[in-house]
Amino acid sequence: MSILAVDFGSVHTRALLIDQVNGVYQLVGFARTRTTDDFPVQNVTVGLGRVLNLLTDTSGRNFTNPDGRVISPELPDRSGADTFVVTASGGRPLRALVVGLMPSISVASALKALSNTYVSVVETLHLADGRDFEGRLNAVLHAYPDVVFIVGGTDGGAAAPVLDMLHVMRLSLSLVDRRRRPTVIYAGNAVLGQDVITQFEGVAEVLIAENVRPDMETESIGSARSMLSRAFNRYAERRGYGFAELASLAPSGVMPSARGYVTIASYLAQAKRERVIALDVGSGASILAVATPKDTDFSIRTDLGLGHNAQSLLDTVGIDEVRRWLPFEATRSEVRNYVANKALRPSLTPSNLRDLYLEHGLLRAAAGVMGRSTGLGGAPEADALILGGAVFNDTGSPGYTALLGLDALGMAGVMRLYSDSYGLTAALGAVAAARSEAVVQVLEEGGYAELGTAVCVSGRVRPDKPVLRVTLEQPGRPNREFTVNGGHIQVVSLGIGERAKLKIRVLGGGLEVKGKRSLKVEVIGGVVGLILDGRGRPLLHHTSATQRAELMPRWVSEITGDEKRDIPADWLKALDEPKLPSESRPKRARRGARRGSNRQKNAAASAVELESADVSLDDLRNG
Amino acid sequence: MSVFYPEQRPAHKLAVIQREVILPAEASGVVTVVNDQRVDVRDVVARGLVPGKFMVIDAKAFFKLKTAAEVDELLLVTVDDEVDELKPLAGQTSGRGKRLFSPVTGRVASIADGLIVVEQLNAVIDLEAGLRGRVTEVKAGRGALIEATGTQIQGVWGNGGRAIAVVVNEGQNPIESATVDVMGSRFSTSVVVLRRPITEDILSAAADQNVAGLVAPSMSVELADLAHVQPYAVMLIEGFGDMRLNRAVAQVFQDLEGVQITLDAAQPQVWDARRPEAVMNVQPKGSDVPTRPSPNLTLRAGMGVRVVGGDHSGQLGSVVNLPNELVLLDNGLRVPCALVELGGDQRIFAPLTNLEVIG
Repeated sequence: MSILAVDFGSVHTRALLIDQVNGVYQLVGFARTRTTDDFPVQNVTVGLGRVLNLLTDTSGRNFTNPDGRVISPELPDRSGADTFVVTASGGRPLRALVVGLMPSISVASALKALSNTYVSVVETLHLADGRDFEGRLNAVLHAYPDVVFIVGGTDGGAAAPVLDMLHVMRLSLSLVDRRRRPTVIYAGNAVLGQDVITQFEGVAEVLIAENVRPDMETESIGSARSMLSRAFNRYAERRGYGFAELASLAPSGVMPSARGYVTIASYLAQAKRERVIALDVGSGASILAVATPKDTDFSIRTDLGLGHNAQSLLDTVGIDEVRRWLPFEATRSEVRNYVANKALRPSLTPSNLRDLYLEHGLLRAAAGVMGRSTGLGGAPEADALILGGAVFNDTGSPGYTALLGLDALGMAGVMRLYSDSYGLTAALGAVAAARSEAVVQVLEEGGYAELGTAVCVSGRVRPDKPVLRVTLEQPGRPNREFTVNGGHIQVVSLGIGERAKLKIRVLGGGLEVKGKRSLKVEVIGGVVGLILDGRGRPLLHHTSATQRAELMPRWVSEITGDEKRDIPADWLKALDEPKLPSESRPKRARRGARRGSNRQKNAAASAVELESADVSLDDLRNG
Repeated sequence: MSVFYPEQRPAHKLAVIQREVILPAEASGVVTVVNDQRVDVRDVVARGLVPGKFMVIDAKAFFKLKTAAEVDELLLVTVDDEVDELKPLAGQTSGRGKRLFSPVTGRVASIADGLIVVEQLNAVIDLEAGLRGRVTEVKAGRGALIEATGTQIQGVWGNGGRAIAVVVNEGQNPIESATVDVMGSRFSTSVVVLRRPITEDILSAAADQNVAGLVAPSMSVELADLAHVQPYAVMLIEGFGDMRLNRAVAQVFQDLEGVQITLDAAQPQVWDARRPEAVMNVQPKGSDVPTRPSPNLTLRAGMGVRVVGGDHSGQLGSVVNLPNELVLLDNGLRVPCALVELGGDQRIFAPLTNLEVIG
C-alpha cells in the first residue's frame, strides 16, 4: 500500500513517496521544487507536475496519467500510489470571523478550535464587544471573512442571545456579494442547529459541528476542528492559483500542513512517554508543538515567517530582539532593508556573513515568540526536538542545523535532535487517521534524520573554565572521558543508531543539567554525534556585539567542524542610525510653491523633527 | 544537479505581456469586457465599489408597528434604489403623517424583518486596461487578463501609484538640481528613470516638479512611508538598500526615452502574485518575435541572469555551469549554486535561489 504525499508550502512544494519494503512502511522517495503560485505560472498544479516528474526521476515510478491526473490506486506496473494526500501551508491564511456570547467562555473555546489551522482571526463579535446591531453588521461586512465561526450557549440553555447574533449574521451575509460569501460553521447550543440551517438557507453554506461548550465545565473542540478542516478545503478551492484543481485531484482535498506537527508530536510523546517539541519556522507561517504524554500545547502563527511574513515578524518582535542575536553592529535600516527584501523575494538565500546572521537572528526572534506563546520558559527542556522547515534544514551541515535548533528556543537539558528535511511531518499528519501504522513504521524506520543527542548545561558559565565532565561508556569499548569548558561546544563522534551511557558531572557553581549536578543518561548518536554544550543558559544574555562576535563564530565552527569565520573588526564600530525622513511633509503642499526655497524650509523643519525623533528612540533604547 | 526553475523577472524590449488587471481585494464589481475583446490603454475593464458604511434603520420601531410585514405597506423605496439624504424611505404615499427619511445618501441594500439597510455610496473605481491588447480571460466580478505585445519591465516594489506618461531618463543632470520655471522642469509630468537609489531629496524634488512617476533601482526602506504618500507612482527595480540599476534594465529604459509607457507601481501584497511593472505597446517589426513567458524555463549554462541579494545584488552575469554538489559559501552555508561569470571575468558561486532570469 503506497502513499504519495505532496505538501505545498509558501516557497517549496515537496513530494514524498512512502511504501512498504519487506512489509514495513518506509520513506522511499523525495523531491522538492519551488511552489508555482508566482509569475509567470500562478498555478500550484504546475509545481505538482514538476515535483512528480522529479520524483519519477529519483524513484523510477510514474505518478500521473497522460492528462496530468495522479494515478490512484497504484497499478500493477507500480505506477501511481494507493493513497494520495495533499497538504498546504502556503498562501493567505483563512480569514475567520468568530461570533460568540462570552469572550472568556464560548469565544475562548472557538479561538482554541481555530488554533490548529492557518487562520487569521479578523474580527470577533460577542455580547461584551460594545457594538450595537449596526456596528456588528458593519464589522462583518468590512472584515471580508472566508469563514464565520458561530459559537455560544450551552446545549439546551438560553436561546435568545444566540438567536440575536444569528439575526445579525444572516442580515450581514445576505448583503455580501454571492460569489464571496463565507462558509458558516455553527458549534453552539445544539438545540438551535436546525434554526441555524433555516436561518442561513439561501444565504450561506452552513456546517454544523458539536457544541464547543456543551456545558459550562466541558470543552469539546474536536468536531469543530473537523468542520474547520472542511472549510479550509472549501477555501482552498476558492482562493485561485490552481488550488481548486488541486482539491479535486486529491480524494481528501487539501489539508492544513500544521495539523501534522500537532499529531506527530502528540503521537511520539504518548508512544515514548516523553516530552517532544516540534518547531517549524517557515516563510509565511510558523508552528510550535509541545507535547507530553498527557497533553499537547501548540501555536500556529500565520503572521510570523522568514519570507512572506518577514515584515510582520519584525513588526511583532521589534528590531532590538533581532539585533541581540547579531555578532556585529547593525543599524535599524540594515535590519529593515534585509527584512523588506526577504518579503519581496522570500526564497532568497543569505549569501554573505552579515545576511546569514540577520536571517538567523530573525529565526531566533521568531522562535522566541513562539516559545513564549506556548508557555515555554527561557531554557526549555525536552526529550526530543524535531526541526522542520528550510531555514533549519537547508544549511547543508547537520551540525549547523543542530546549533540553530538548540539556540532557537534556548534548549537546555538532554535531548535527541531530529531534522525533518523532507517535510515528513505534514505528510504523516495527513495520513495518520487512515494509516496510523504507516506513521509508526516510517518514524521507527528513520524517517527523520537523526542528528544526535545534545547535553546542555544551564546557568551562567565562566568562560574557558571546566563546566562538564562526561564519561561515555559503550559495551566492548574503552570508556572515553571529555571535559567541556564554559562557552564552548564539543562534538563527540557517535554514529547513527549507536547507543551509549553517559555519566555527567557538572563542574562550577550555579550550574546544572536537568536540575542535577550529577546524572547518568542513555544517549543515541546521529549524523552530528553527541553534542556537549557548555555555553550555559540562557544564551547570550546581556551580551554586547563584541562579545557575540567572539562567541557565535566559534560555536558554528565547533559544532560544524568548519573553519571559524571571524567577524571583521570594522563591523563592531558603533554606527550612526540614519535619520528618519520627515513624516509630516504635506504631499501636496510642495506643489506649485517656489521650488528651491520651499525645499530648504522643509529640510530645516525636518531637521528639528528628526532630532526629536532620534532623542525619543535613544530614550527608549536606554530604557 | 536536478532541474531548477529559476525566478523570472522580465525586462524585455519585445515580449508577449500577460497582464492581470483586477479590482482591489475589498471591492465588488462588474467586468465590462468580454473574452477576445480588444482594449485600449484607457478602456475601462471593470467597475467596482468598495463597501461603504451600512446604516440600519428600524422602520418597525419607528412606526411603532407590531409586525415587520406592516412595514412593507409603508415602503417608498425598494432594494437597490439610490436615495439622497433626507429622502423619505417609508410613510404614507399621501405625504401625510409620520415619515422615515434616509439619514445618508446611498443605496437601499436590504429590506427585511422591519429593518431598512442603506449603504453609503463610495466612489466608483474605474479599472483601466493600461495597455492595448486583447482580453484572454475574464475574472468574474474582479477584472481580466489582457495579452499584448510590447516592452515589459517588472520591478519588485511599488507605492501603489499608477501613471501613463512619457519616459525621461535622468542622465547627467540630477533631478534635485533641475532648472524649474513656471512651466515646471524637463521631468514634469513624465516617468523619470534614475540609475541611483532614491533619496529623500529626490522624492521631494520629484513632487516639486510634478513628475508622473519615478523608477529607480532601490531606496532605503526608511523612505517607504514617505514614498507611499507621494502623489506620483514609484517603482523599485532591485529592492531596498543601496543598489544601482543594472545595465540591461537601464538600456531598455534608455531606448524608451520620450515614449509613453504605463507605469503600474503595484504595491506587493503578502499573498498576491501581482508585481509592479512598466509596460508599453510595441508592434513586432519584420522578423522580430516577441518573447513569451516560459512557465517551464529551467536554469542552464550560458543563460543570462541577475544576481539578487548579497554582495553582488543587481549585477548581471551568465551561468558558466551548475555543479551537482552543494557549494560551501563564504558564510558557511552549503547550498545548491551556479557558477556565474559577472562583468570583468569575475566568477562567483551564487545560490540558485538568488538568480533571476530577466530576458
